[in-house]
Amino acid sequence: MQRVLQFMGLEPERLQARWVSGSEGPRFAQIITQITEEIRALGPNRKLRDDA
Amino acid sequence: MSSLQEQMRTRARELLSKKEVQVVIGWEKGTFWYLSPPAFITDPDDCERLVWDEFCTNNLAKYLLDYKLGEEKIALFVKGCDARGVNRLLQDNQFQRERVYLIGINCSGVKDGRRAAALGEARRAEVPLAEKCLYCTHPGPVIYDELLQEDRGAGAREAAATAEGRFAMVEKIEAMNPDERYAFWTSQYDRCLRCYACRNICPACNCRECIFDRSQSGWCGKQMSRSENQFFAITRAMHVAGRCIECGECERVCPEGIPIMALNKKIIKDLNELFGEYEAGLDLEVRPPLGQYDLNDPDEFHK
Repeated sequence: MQRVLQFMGLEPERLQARWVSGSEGPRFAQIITQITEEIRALGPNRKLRDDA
Repeated sequence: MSSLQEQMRTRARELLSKKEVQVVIGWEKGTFWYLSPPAFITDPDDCERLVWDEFCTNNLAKYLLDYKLGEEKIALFVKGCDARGVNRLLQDNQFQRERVYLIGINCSGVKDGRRAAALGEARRAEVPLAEKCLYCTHPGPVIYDELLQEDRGAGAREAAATAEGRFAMVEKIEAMNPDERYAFWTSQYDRCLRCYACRNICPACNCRECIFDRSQSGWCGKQMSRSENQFFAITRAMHVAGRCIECGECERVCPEGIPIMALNKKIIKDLNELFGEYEAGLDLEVRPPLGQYDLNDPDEFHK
């Protein structure tokens, strides 16, 4: 899926999937923080939008 | 015209007269010389309508679904790609093997109907092969009950010698930078009319209720806009992932000429890289890469 988005010209980092168990609270928080930082670095998505 | 055509008519007549099958699905001559649309024959006297020429492009496998809920037995003529389509439907439990009688044809490749229309009948011999046939890996049917042989011994084409070019288009797009890729796909899918011809013709698209018909579900709207069109494009491609048999019908029927197969082939190429070489609809016993789980499956997300 990520590869297809990349093929369509999107930043692949915008779609991510992770397995996190319900008992892995700290890991969940860490992953969300990391993804948020990555996406913030990319900035708002301007692609696949009707107003762009 | 060809002896193969005579054999087709004879066999169809026999099967229908002996009541071994109730319907024969083949091709007949259409409105124009470059069209040979599907024919559905129930009366033995109608078998003269059947033709076999270089424009018998349609993948007939899909039409089995129209008889899915019936009781009748159906005889189907299969080229390489039709046979793979039938395999896909059988593998998805969409049809019972006992209800279909497959008559195989060694396909010598079909011609491009649109190019034929542009060239005119006088230049019939110059019409190029259809895009899908250029990269065909299995011109002969991979599943059949009987195989029609051409008397001349000709016909059976070597599994496309040009198969190397199969992913050329994909590689070309991969080589672009992200913005170019986005511009490319935007210019293609901005033309999409959302007529769903690509879905309707596809032998891998066999959901009883399609996500794109469920406009109230909120997944994908009916609106013809940039965002919805591309969402449609990506979703359609992912829904046939691992099941696309590369018959190229989606691209052929697209009234806007969108290179749909480039997306399908991208996914096939990725699946080959991630899960090993796989071609859909070749073998009933081999499960598709996305239809099974293996502990050794790659996980690009796991870090």
